[in-house]
Amino acid sequence: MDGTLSQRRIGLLFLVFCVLFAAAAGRAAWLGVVKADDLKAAAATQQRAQVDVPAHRGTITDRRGVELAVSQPAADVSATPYLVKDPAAAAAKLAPLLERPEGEILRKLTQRESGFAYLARKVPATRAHKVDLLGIEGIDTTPTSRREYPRDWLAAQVLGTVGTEGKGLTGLEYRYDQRLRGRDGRRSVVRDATGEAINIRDPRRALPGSDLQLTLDAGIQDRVEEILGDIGKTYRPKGATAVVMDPHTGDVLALGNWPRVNANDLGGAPASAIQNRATSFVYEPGSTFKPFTVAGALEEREVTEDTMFNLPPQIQVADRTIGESHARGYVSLTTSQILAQSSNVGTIMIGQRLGAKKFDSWVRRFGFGKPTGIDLPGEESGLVLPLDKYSGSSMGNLPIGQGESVTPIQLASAYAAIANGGVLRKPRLIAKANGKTVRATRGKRVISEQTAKEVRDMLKGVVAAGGTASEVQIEGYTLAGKTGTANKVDAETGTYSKSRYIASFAGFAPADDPELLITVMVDEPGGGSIYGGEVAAPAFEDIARFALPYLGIAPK
Amino acid sequence: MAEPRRRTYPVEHKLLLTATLCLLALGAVMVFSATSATSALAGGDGTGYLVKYLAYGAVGLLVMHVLSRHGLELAKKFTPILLAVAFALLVAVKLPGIGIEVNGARRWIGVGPLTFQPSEVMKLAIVLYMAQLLAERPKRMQTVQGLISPMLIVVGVACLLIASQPDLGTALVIGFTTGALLLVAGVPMRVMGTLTGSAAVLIMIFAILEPYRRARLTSFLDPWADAAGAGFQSVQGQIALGSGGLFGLGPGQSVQKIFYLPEAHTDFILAVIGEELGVIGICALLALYGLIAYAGLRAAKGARSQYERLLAAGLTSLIVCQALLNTFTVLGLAPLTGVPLPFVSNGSTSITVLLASMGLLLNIASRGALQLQAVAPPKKTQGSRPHADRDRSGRDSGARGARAGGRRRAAG
Repeated sequence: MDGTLSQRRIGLLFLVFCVLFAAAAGRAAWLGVVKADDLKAAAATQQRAQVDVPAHRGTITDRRGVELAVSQPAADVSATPYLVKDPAAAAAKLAPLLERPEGEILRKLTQRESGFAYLARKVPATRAHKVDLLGIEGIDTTPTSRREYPRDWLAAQVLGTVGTEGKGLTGLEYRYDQRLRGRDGRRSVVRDATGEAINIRDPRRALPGSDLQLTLDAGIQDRVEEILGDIGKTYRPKGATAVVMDPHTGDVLALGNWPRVNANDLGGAPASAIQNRATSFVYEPGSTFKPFTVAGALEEREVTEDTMFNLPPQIQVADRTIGESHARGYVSLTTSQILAQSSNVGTIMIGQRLGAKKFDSWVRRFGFGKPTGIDLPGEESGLVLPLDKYSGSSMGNLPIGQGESVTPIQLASAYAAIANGGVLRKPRLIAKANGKTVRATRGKRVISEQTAKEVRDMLKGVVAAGGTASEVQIEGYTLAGKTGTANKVDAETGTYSKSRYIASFAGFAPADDPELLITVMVDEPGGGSIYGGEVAAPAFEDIARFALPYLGIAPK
Repeated sequence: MAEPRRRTYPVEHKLLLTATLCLLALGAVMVFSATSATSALAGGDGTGYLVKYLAYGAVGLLVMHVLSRHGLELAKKFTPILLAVAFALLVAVKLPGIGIEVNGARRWIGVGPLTFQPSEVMKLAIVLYMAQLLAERPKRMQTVQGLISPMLIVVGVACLLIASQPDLGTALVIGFTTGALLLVAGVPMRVMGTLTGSAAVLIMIFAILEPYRRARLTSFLDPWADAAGAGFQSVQGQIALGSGGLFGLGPGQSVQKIFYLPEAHTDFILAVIGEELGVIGICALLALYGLIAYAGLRAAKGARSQYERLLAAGLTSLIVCQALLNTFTVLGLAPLTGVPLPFVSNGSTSITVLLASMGLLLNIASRGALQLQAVAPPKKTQGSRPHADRDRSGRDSGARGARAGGRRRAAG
């Protein structure tokens, strides 16, 4: 046989092999060097995932540690529709766990062209785990947390809400979002093809949010809301608000709003019910404003408790004539009696002694016209007429609480200054943040202790015989307060409405050494009575009757 | 008797043995790396495949050792029987109840963990058969007709049986090896051209007839077009190679091997090598196969007879063609076919048969040395050579086979 031909052919074969090996090596270099970046990116796309690890949101408790808002582990359940092999079977299995209609889930799963769809968000962890156990291909769960309000209705407008993305939207949840939220962690996960993590790095650890302990007391809050509910039932008002405060510290013990809403189901409530009226509702205070006019005049030594005023039935101020709410003849009343009987004419005469300039400065000293600074978002500042805008008749209505507008919390904090001996403090809701006590602000003295005491004594007369709220009595405690029945301004005509009122009461107990301050405001009561003494004062009494012994304030 | 033991083996023999052992070592490491994670996740200790690989490797090395001493002698005696048995097994695989079906392919025979793949045996049988036939009847290969009957008919039927399992990869390896053998045998280029052309047409028809092969063909042209479907394996392989870059992520660091890459421990082990050892690792691997090609063909050149020459060239081509087909497939230079990477991929029959082939090759390579050293006349007549071979190898083996085997076992 021709051996040399074979020898040559072997050489040729080796050459062919060499060329092919070279081609393979070249291709390997092409993929591993030139195309490496693209391919690494493709690898990262399928292997790596950046996951946000939600930080545990802080718990909100009342002053005694009762949990008002807590975060529970939960999961968002999502689908990659085109991966779900049997959408009908999957929907049937998922529907009871997700508590969604089967049809809705099936519709989402059958949108085959879509690569992602949320089936349900914030599913409680126990049920989400069952979804995981089903092991349906194309169904994923992403851990998150779910905000729950164990007491449902309690202080819902104060606590506020958290959105699906874990951000506070309203109330304290919004105001303290940064603190409550903490900082989400960032996790870099390398997954195998089945989605199991094979390497986890945490370039940023999650920092849990701070817990908040409120000054609110769930017990008092509960009772306040119950009482407001009764008012709502009886008088069918547009809304009602009550604030309970410790006048010495400014601690808000209860802040109730009616109509109430379920914090766990805010979607079902009207927007007007969700707002916190204590800070957002602006109204003309009417008679509840009179003590500040009197306090100013006392402090300026224009009047004393016993200064006698001869009061005509009506008083003419510039182009306006102002009378009493209940017509009467000529009387002589002391400063104390003017306040107890809520005489418009008398208060205007005291205001006139004070003069517009001093009056204006006293209104502002008590904090009207600017937000109190309470730890709630969206606080209104009310409306106080600037001195240079006063007309001739201004001093005929401003001293009796018409022409300026306030928020319930402003009124409460101003009354607290009278109750605590003359110091105006920022009302506060946060007692402890992350275990650290938040110190009460030092406050600002606005009137002397003596003046404060004198006004308190005068306000005792309101609930005594001959006062505008003489029925308000609690055995063993002396009470003091002031009623208010203010005409609402008709938005259309710009004049005072004859049918729509705001009934209010602000008071404290025990009157000589007040430890409890309560304001009640009822917007447009119907169904029989419109008077602060009849609508709001009994609510004050009910709240005080519960809260005084509850707080361990001994009767005398 | 003592003298041959101390003799130095020719360089081809050393190179072949070195390359083979290197590949086996690499194979053990890579099979372990590619399978430990997935098999550990499946609930084992992760060493299942490694143990299997080592077991079959040990069997294979034993076979290699025996054949490197007595390979030619046995080959001449048993070639027809081996071919017949291989055919019988290929037919048996088709029978339900005997053949085992995995992933829609009926390629295996056996019971429990002891399965084996007749097509692998057929590869070796075909090379042995063709080398014998081409060496004995050199005249037949001058014409197409002479080649076809009976040789190419035998090869064709074998390929058809294998391709219908379906195992196009192994059929292609046999086809390429046949081509290489015919080339070395000195078939005229005109005849080679005719045969290559017809074979190419046949393969194309075969590839297009079946929809899934058609899809593989189109996905080969652009695997990324259907990265989640037909192109999935290619794309995942390329992603693995790209992730590795020049130097690789380091042994054991592959991510792709965990369920992304199908057949990571068998047909696509090269992708894991690329991911963990980089382009450098792949080049080293290619260099080892290049070494086998060089040494094997050198042994063929130095062979003393046309039979040995053809056998050496055929066996070398068998290993190299399979290596090339596998690397081309994984690197995206050829459509998906699915043959294991010689010596490296985990595959019981593949390793054993390839090591047997290597044994034969070593036998031929070592005889070149004997011829240089111990035998004076460089040229013998064709008739007398087999006798001389048989005499010598018989003497050698009688005394040495057992001893060497015993020692090796003791050492291991």
